[in-house]
Amino acid sequence: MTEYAEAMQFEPDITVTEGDPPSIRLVVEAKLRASAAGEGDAQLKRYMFGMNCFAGLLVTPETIRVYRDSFERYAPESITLVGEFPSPPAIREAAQSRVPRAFERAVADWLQDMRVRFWQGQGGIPEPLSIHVLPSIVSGRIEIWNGPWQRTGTE
Amino acid sequence: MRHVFVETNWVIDFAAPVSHRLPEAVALLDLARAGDITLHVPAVCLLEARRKITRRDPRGEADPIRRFLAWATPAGAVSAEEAHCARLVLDKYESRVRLELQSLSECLDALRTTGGVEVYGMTDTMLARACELSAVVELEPFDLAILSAVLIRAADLAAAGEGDSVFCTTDGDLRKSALCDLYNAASLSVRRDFRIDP
Repeated sequence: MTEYAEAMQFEPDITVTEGDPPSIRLVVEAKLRASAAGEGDAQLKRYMFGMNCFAGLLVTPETIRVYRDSFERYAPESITLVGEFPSPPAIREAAQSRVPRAFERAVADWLQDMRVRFWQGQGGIPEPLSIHVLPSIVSGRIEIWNGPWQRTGTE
Repeated sequence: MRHVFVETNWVIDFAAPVSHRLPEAVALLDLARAGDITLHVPAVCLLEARRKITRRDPRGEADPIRRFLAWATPAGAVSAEEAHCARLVLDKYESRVRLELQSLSECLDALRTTGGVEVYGMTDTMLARACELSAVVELEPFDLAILSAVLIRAADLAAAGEGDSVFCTTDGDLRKSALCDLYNAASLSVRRDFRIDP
């Protein structure tokens, strides 16, 4: 498979969009396998650059990585890792089911919870998230991507 | 041949000034120019895109920074030299955006003659379908027009044996699950971005 075709295979698991026309404010890739985090880096960065999305997350059962466009270059290489910290208990627990959809749901719920905590004035949000992620999700639309609709009607 | 349908948001993302342009939207057009796909654009989308793009005012993005500089320089947060450079960049940004907006009509008109791109108008059948759809789906009139234009044309392609069609739309209203059966009936798969593997 060519590098281009591989890149086109990448699908983010969750997006947060806002505005009209909608812009993607946050891209989230949820990986059940920890070893997959390094593999997903390049494709996540390419997707973020291509879709003008300046903030991204790579979530595994063990860690959450925060990516941000540094705007140093007009290329995917401009996307840099700006923070990494342990995944919260709810995400670790969801990973135990080994069901990808359940894991994605747990990550989406965690984003929603972060938003609620913000609006309720509660603190305790780690700095990489409060700076780079929270502004993207406070009023955006959180959407789990179920893949392209196929002609057979399956997702 | 892969047939790819797009709507207003693709036109905006492709034709917007460079600071707002989506590289993936441009890449899709490149695929069409190269003959790898045929890109189908409802003509009504050009009208809507023109209206939305020209509403952008670069001063709206630059003025808050100028205001910050006006406060920050005497406050010592930004040096005079830094402020001067920042103002120069902001002036260049505004000039560039205005230049691109001035050539917007030319850019959109060029789509009609671009190889691999088919800009198509509303037919009576599409208009009738839009009226039918208005009774069963909740969409704004423009979205109804676009939806019917895409469905009818995709179905025509499928009937002609050209059934490999995909609709790329970043509009959440056009990706509602209530529309799934309509897309399936027209032999259309739906993507929420512009990334196509030809």
